[in-house]
Amino acid sequence: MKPPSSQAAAAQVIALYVAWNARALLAAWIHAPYDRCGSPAFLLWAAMPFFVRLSYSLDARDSAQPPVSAVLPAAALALTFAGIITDLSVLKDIALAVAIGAFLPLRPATFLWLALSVAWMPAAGWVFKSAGVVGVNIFRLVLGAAAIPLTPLYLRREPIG
Amino acid sequence: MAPLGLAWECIPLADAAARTGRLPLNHGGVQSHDIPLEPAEKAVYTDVNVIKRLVTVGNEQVVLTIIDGTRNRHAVHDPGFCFRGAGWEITGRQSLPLEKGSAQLLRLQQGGETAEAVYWFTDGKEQFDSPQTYWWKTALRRMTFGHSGSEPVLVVLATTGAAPDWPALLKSWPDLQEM
Repeated sequence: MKPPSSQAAAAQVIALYVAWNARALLAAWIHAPYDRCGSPAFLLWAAMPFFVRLSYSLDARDSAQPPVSAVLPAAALALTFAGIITDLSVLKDIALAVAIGAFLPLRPATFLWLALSVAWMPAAGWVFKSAGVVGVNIFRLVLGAAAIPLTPLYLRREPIG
Repeated sequence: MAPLGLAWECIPLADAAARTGRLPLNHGGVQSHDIPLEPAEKAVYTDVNVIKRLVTVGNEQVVLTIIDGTRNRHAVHDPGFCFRGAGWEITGRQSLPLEKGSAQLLRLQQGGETAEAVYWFTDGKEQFDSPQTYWWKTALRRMTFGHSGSEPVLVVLATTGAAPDWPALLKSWPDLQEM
């Protein structure tokens, strides 16, 4: 396995910084009734880039790893900063989704996958509160799972770069 | 950008303690005493100035909670959302006029139990019942280091027994509305 490029390393550092700033998610997932299925929804949602990169890693070719976006980490950093100065968690949560999205090849499906990140965001609980606690949590799991069928779209060996 | 974000978070904001501290325990026809927070409330209200009192206004008794989230804005939730999360069903809503804006009256039901709660946000100049307005005002305040106005606090009145005549209760408790 090749060591990560400097761009990939920078994206990893930014993702860690953004995740640290979005750490309030953990408390929400543990304590808030509307967010109880937030963590499994997050795992379902985040499984896709994990498996995509794993499948590329198992490829014997040196150039197998998909490129890491330069735009998305910068956008994630800007969103986190906006979240800090406004103290709005939703911006920090969106930043986390965007930072993780940097590890996927940038394709139209990436934006659909990013939209599905509402599955694990506490803000979705407030928006869809009229569905009730059970309804919102089912909605979270369904949306999180909906990210998985997108995986084959990223496994095609198209020219990369 | 990261150091700038860190620095931004370190700049302290003036809280609303001076304003909420002016609310007397006993004045006119209002008698009250502080009551302790429940363990679950203590966990949620970390770094938050909270006043919780059992209040008697005339013949009515209510629990007053005032939450100042200057140092932890995320502890201040949309009360309607909170009650639903705690298992209450909102069976009715009504807007109540206040001296400088409006409050929201919620009728609640859980099993065979019923309750009522009235809430509003106030920054001392304006009273409003919209959580979105609260988020906007507090975000603007943090962006301007507090220069956009005073920190809004959340005021919640809840019944401990039969539903009171809310307009009459609020009218006979001017100190709370002046806060």
